[in-house]
Amino acid sequence: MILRSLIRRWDGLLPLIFVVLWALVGLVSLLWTPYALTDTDGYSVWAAPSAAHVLGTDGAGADIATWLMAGSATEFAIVVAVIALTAVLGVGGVALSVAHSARVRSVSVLVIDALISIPTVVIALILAAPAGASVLAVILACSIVYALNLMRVVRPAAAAAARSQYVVYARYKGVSEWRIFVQHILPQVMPSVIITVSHSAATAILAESGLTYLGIGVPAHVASWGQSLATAARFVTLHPATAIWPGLLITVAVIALNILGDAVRECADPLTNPLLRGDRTQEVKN
Amino acid sequence: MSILSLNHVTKRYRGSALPALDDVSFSVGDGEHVAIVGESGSGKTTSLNIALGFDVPSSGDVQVAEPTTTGLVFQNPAASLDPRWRVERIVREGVPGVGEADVRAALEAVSLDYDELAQRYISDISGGQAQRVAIARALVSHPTLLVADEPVSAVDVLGKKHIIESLRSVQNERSLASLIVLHDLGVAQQLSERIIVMQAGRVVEDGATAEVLAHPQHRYTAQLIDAARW
Repeated sequence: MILRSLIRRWDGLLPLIFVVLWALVGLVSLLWTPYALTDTDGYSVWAAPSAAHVLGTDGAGADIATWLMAGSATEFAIVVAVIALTAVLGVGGVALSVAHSARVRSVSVLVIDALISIPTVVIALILAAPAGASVLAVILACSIVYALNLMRVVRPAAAAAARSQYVVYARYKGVSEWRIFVQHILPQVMPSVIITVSHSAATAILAESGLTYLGIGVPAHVASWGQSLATAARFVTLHPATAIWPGLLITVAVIALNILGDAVRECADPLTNPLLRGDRTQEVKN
Repeated sequence: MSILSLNHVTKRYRGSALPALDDVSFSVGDGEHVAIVGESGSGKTTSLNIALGFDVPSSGDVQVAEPTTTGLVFQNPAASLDPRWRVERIVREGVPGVGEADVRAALEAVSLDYDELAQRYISDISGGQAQRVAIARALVSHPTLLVADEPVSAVDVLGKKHIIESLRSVQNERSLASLIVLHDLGVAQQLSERIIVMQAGRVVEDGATAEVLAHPQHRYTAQLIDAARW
């Protein structure tokens, strides 16, 4: 029902098409790319788009399309992992911050407020220091920071829901705290969670590019859109066309994820989606 | 026999010079229908919260006879019913073993049609219907005591009429006692056989509703009656 609602609106359908294509290209790249990632042609560096290289080549003579295709898989994996981890860590933190036990509540709020002041770059540096730059470090750094942000954004609404009379009633009837959180509090804050997570996914792409540019993101031998952009950025004044493709992909992905998040929020909420209410909203009220 | 009694209950909140409740004692007998009336801040809802165990008294005690099961109705259905749940799920919550027939019977007890309403959300029904859903939720566990906090103050006139009719029908047809907080003496007259008048955290009058309203013994009760006529 949510998917049906989503594909009926342009701001659901268009970003969805982009995300599906993105995932498909990423999948195909695991099996086939025009060239191998290590293929370079020293006689054809900074080549313009041609039949042999549809998006041209970079300064090493590597095929840009190949790197962007392979980068799609890395980028998609990063986005999916960041969405999942941010949601799990963030919602877990929110659950603790609105716990019935006052002690658990105040300690978790204190920890969240203390950790939230640490920037993504610092966390990425701490994670990258022992084992070097890696995709996992990017995922963890982004997820930790975005989960803390999610807790900060969602906590007030969750706290209001936790004080609501339907929660008081459920507690009075002996419903467990876990069930109360999952069945009453979480649905009330889910719209904010969806928006925050989709924004986090979009920001993760930008963060990956930034961290890779700084040398603490994706390692040089792994393809990613951020990697392609970082490579092109060094020579952007001499060969601006090579930065356009990864830049364009990153921009479109960020916009698509933000718009999709907003559409999913409206389509997944029975308060804003009449289809989920069974199309009976227009009937005469008593 | 009392199924609920508050004995010399005093409640003081930190930072407040005056007690919210000051040596309050009253009881509700088996099958008895009692209303607590008074202006805002008189201690009605605090009494209820302490009676239900939502708050603890500073001194005094609350006794509930075994076995007493309590059904609870809050003031505002928009706040007390989850907006993202369907009516059927709301009515079933927290009562193990409740089936469709029980939900249907509870809704019918407050003159609501299961087939029409069970799959609706609260935002798709009127305030009066929503409050009757809240009453149905309280009834589904077959309580021996129905406790309601100003059940008609957050709905429109028509909704109020339906709620009062539903509560009267429940009081007549089911074997239960009721303790209802109200600020409307007219409603108290319809829903109670005994009335407790509270002022500034104290019980100033406690007696048969008809007798108290016809011959108030306390000046404050007389003022309330006078204000209701005005």
